[in-house]
Amino acid sequence: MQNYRIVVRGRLCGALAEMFDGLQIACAGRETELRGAISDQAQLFGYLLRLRDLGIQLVSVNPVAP
Amino acid sequence: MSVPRVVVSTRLHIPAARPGHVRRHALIGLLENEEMARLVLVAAPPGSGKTTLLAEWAASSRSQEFAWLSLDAGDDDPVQFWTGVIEALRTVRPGIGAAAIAALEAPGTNVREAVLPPLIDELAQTAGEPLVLVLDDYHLADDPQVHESVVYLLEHAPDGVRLALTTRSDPPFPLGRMRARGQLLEVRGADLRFSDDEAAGLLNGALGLRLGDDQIAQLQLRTEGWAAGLQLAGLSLRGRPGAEAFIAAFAGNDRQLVDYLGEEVLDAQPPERRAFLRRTAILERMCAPLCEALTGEADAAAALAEIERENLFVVALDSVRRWYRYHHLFGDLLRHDLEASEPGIVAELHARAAAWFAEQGMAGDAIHHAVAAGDFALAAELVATHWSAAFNRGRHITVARWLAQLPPELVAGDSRLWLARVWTSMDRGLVDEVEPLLADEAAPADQAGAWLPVLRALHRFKIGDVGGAHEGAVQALADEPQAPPFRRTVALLVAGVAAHWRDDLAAADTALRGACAVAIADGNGPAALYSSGYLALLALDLGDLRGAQAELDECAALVAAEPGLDEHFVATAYHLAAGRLALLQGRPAGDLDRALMLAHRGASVIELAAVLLARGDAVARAEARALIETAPDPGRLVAPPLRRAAPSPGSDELSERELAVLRLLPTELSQREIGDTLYVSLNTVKSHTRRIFAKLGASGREDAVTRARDRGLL
Repeated sequence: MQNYRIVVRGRLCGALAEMFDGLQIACAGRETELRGAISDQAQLFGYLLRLRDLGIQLVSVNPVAP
Repeated sequence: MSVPRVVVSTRLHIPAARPGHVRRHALIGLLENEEMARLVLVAAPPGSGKTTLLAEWAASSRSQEFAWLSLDAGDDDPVQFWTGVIEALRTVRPGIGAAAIAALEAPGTNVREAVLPPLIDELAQTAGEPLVLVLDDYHLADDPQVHESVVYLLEHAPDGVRLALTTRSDPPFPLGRMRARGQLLEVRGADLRFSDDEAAGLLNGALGLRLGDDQIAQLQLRTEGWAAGLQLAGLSLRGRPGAEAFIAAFAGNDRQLVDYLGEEVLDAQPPERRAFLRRTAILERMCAPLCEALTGEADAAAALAEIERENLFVVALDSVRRWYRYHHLFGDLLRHDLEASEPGIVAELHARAAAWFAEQGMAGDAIHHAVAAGDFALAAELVATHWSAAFNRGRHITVARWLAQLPPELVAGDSRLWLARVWTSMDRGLVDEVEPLLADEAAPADQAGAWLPVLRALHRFKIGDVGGAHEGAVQALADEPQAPPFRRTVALLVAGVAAHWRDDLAAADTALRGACAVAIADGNGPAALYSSGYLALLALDLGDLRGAQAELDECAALVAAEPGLDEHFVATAYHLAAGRLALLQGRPAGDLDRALMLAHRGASVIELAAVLLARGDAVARAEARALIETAPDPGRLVAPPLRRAAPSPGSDELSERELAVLRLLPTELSQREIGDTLYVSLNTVKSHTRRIFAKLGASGREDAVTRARDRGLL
């Protein structure tokens, strides 16, 4: 398990946010932060591909302390 | 079979431009004129208009033909992917790729070695108009073999054949190198952004709004010209009083476009329409009867037509507007809406879809939905019913994926699925996977258990234990004299080929003739070819060249009747025998190359070693040596010495290979040309020649020919 912080462009606070259940979602300014424990690379890439497939722009991905 | 055919063709259909669609003149001009590029890469986020751009190009191009393939999730199977590509090419080059299809349908085919070379040759020979092969949604091809083979095609395609891909992620191709050589034309997200004029064309043209320049500029700015964003905004505006207020609210917030606009668009739908949309969104493709089975909607055809008319992100998949799919991005939104509002019915919807597809005989879709419905009993039943048809068409990876989706205990408990696993692994040469399946505790207890002794014997043969294979097969034949024809054929074959490698030629002859007779009566072409090829080898062993030729003619007739057989490893013995006969008669033995390729597709290590020995060059001998030394019981095959032993004094008998060289000595051929003719190196020819001279006591080439004629060798 590793905690990650994924930042995307735009405020993601409506129905779409539920597609990332398992992650804490916080909107701040023009960006949204998705944060949570991710079990492995496969799960991480699953989230990233879901963002790609919704046309959401990725700003950063970082491992963080829990 | 007509229904699956229709479905295949939906993948080959170039999406038709919708009325009033925004033309991308500048981009089309670029695509049309940049003729140097071997690869057109359209890489951008979903909803950017990638597919629409290429469809418009295809519709407007005057100088090029287009073959179109829309990928789906099954295209991580290289066999399915290349079958689709060839089907697509056939829409513009009818009949192309027959040899390639036959190779694809054989088990264990290496696409790059066996499928692409003949396909590329044919593309070069049937040159007509310049051709663009479009692979739409290439990001769905998530398989290294597919990527590798597409790169091979890019590097070897004849001039006038180009590839155009749409994808959400850059494919793992050597793009930097291609860019540097000017072989790559890229259309990326920024290039696809709608300008103000194009945004006006979409909003006021296709969607029939009446927005002012300023309003359009605001929407364009807020969506950054993203086509799907503009379209969603336009749909939200349609029929809404107070466009001004909506645009101001939209432009003034920072919410995620899809998140915000998706809600707006869906909220504006009447409740029944919204339910229809979200329930049908579980389908990868839909037609009216299927939608009716799913939703209970009385007239789904009318509903689909209306949805298309309103620009609600549906794509027609054929020219008669029978099959549709949702635009991927919109489909994602709808599926999410379904999960959020009616989570309890998702499984039921998949179950209805599975039942509908199963009734149509469309096994792949039915299995997909049965698994999604969690109805593994139905999925298992479908796999058990349909695996052998898919397997016989070379879809090994597809069958393996079907099996992998099922709970392991279900596969283990159903003998038909157990059999599917064993054959899928066995015919791909994955003998290590087969072994545990054949253990006592893994074997099924019911009637398929009768396969166990035969499959164990076959497995022994594959791993190079001819003694164990022979014993097992003979025992199985004795224990079940009234076995069904297919099982009896396999048992007789194993008994016969194992006897052949044990040098028990009489037993081999009896068993192989028996296998051949049952196979022919049973319509089992692969087994008939396999046994006939071995009968030819047997005749060669007995020095009966005429008999060998008669068996080879038999093989040729079987292959002529069923060309796919010639791509299957069962044709190994046929080509080995043809190559050996050719060597004996001093003809080029190109058949040995073919035998080697086929042996790698799932033949026994014994057969592979025998082919390598027949080729006779140093590398092949070294490989054969390694195989024979590790085989538990290689029978009559003897590992060749690392170096050729010096001929024992007094032995002046010429070897098979030396005779082949000798027969070419009276010709005008140089030593190098003799080597090329016999597929051996110059050095090998030189050493053969030296030994021929020594054995004949000849002083040179002419003298050797004279002495050989005196002895009746020529």
